[in-house]
Amino acid sequence: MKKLWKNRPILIALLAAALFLVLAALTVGRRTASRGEDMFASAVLPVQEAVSDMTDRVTDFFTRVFFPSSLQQENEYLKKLVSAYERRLILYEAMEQENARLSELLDYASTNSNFYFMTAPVSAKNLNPYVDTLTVRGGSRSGITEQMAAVNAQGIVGRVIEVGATYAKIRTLQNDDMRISVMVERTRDEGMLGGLILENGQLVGLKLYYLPKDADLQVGDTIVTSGLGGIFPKGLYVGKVLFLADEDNGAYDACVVSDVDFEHLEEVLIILGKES
Amino acid sequence: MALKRQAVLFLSFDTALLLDTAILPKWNLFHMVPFVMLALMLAAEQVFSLQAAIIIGTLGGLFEDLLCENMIGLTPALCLLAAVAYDKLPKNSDTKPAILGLYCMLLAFALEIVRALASWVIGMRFGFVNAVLYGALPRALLTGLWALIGMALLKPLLKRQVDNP
Repeated sequence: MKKLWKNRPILIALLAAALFLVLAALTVGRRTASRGEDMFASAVLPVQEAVSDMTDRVTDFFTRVFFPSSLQQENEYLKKLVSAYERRLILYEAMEQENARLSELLDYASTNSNFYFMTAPVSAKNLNPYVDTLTVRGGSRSGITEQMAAVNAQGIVGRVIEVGATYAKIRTLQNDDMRISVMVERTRDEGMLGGLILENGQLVGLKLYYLPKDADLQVGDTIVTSGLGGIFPKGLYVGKVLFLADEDNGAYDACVVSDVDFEHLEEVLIILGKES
Repeated sequence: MALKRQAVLFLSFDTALLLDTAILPKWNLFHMVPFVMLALMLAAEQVFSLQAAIIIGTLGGLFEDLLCENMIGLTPALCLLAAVAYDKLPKNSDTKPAILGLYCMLLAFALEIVRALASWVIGMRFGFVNAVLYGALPRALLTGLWALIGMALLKPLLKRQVDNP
């Protein structure tokens, strides 16, 4: 063999090449490594990784030294990328919140399926507690007319007082001139809700009055619309009794607080009509 | 001296293996990555013997295939064929290094073309013009240059061995 190796190296090389080609043909398209290959690769891999890591460091060093402008460009690019992602994140969070709000409205509309609703985004607000009004997108072209009720998932919001072609103004419950005919859900005693109760300039709740003298009103009672007056359909949630008035205070019977967050209203449902 | 020669060859072999599989692919400048193991094999053949080239080509090609290729055996087969072809090319001890470098480039080019064809046969998709212009040609040029560097590095070992038997 040693003699053959010395005298006929070309023959041996050609034979070995032919064998390797056969091996190559046999190993085409394999997906799994043999045990020997696996052992060899496992033994060499740490060295390769170490060398590769060192190469990265050296490349990085020389890139910093010789191509600082490329790093600056990359930095600028990454800053823009981060900024774009931040904008997208803000947009995503706003959409997520909008989605949650609209889902709530949809749930409300589903549970009151005997009414026709229209979602109206709030476009402007006047948060002076004495003249509290909202402007929403959607007016006469969308079928909104004056005196329609505006609600959201937390309860009654107000009623439409002015309608343009593409907008409508809503007087909210927090407006001092607003009056609603209501009743106590538990006892069915009817009364009137409206007018603000202020304490040191801060809004505490709404006045509930004209209840029967023998009305058994309790703190925590639920107040709903009575349906009288024709503006608000019967049975819509308005709020809960926060406290009862003193006997010597004849101005109102109790203070009712609404669950609606009037300062953060972004969409309302306008009740367009009732199913006949 | 023989021990020193083996040590240098062993270190060169390891370096070529790491250069081919871990270092140079990281600096893949327009695919201009030389085939250092082939360059080392041809340099060893020019300086020492065909037998040395066969050992380096077989082991180097096989190891590189095991680490990187999906056709085990293709690279050592091509290296061995390149070694045989280099042995048959017209040359003697007075042949200029530039001619030897040119031989290496031609063999590297042929090897790259065969490797591209083999890849195409097994279903890889690429353009042959791109494979030649941006793959085989620059790789062959750089491999020839590395072979010349290898010859320059290995030659002193042979001279001392001859001078000091």
